[in-house]
Amino acid sequence: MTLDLSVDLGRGLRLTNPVGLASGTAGFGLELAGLIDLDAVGALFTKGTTRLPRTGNAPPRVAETTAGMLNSIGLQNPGVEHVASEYAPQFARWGCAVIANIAGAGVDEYVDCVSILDGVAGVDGYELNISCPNIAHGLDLGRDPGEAARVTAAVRAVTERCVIVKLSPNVTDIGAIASAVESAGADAVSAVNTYVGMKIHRHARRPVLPGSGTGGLSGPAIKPLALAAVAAVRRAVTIPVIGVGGIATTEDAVDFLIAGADAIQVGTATFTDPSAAIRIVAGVHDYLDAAGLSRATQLRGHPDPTESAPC
Amino acid sequence: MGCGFGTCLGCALPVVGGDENTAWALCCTAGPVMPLRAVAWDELMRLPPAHVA
Repeated sequence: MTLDLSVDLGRGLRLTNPVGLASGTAGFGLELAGLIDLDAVGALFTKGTTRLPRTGNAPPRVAETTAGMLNSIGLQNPGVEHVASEYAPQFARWGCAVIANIAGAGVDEYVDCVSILDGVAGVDGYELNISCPNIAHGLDLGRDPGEAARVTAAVRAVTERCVIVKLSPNVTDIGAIASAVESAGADAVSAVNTYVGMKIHRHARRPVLPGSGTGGLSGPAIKPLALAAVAAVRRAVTIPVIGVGGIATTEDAVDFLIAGADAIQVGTATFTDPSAAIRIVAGVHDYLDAAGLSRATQLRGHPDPTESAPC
Repeated sequence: MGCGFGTCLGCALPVVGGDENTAWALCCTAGPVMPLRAVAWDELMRLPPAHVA
């Protein structure tokens, strides 16, 4: 039996394998390119990119928590024009797909960023970050199905490339948001971004992170939460779902594939082991091989309790 | 420090002469040893402490 790890995300975007590097944990690939073989991962999702350069939030920006970490970087990035002129030529040299993560303060900024990148070689698709918890109004578009659909439709109108929408877990009904962006023309969804969290500086008697005191929680601590979100999104849509949240091992990745993900992203684990994603690519291959399966989607189980599940 | 190789942008430090686009240096890639006068000490000392005992 021939084992095929490739994943079709739509609009001609086919990943060689289902493992990606999550936005915000791989920069623009340049730093990692010296440490790992980027040809071995399925996709690299860039740091969130905005129309103009952003300096980001004042330090401290990260804080360690139990089995995870909080971050409040504030979308520090050099702006979309710099990405298009300086980084994209590098993207074109790597074997992995490069998907530009796009953030903005409103619908127009997303449309502008995608329009600027759309003719640029090296960029294979877009991941719309409608779920950044660390900038003012960063979550506004991601918390309302109508607003999420509006930004998706506006971007859909200006590109033929694959449009992925990265969903926020900081909502009451993530399935409703997923369904809204699917109807508006999204080719796939990523689930999930970080969970809003806080760490207290006990001696100073205030939060560790400045500003609102909150940051985005990631790492193994959120894996059970992210699995539940992926299962809910899987029930709500028929387009591909990219599972992300606390994946550090092959077993974690397999759990997300069983819960309904078509592909996965490795994020915070890359900080402690830059080669984590590459190990997971090999691990998923070996797991499928040992199970006698030819495609990752054959792992899909029955996360919906209303369906018959093996006891 | 989150990653230690320049991707997480978690270890940003204020530097002298930084403008809107270069307000910070990353301790992990630009440091950890840096020229004394490159660090914007006044700004650095105004930042809240990051570590919890």
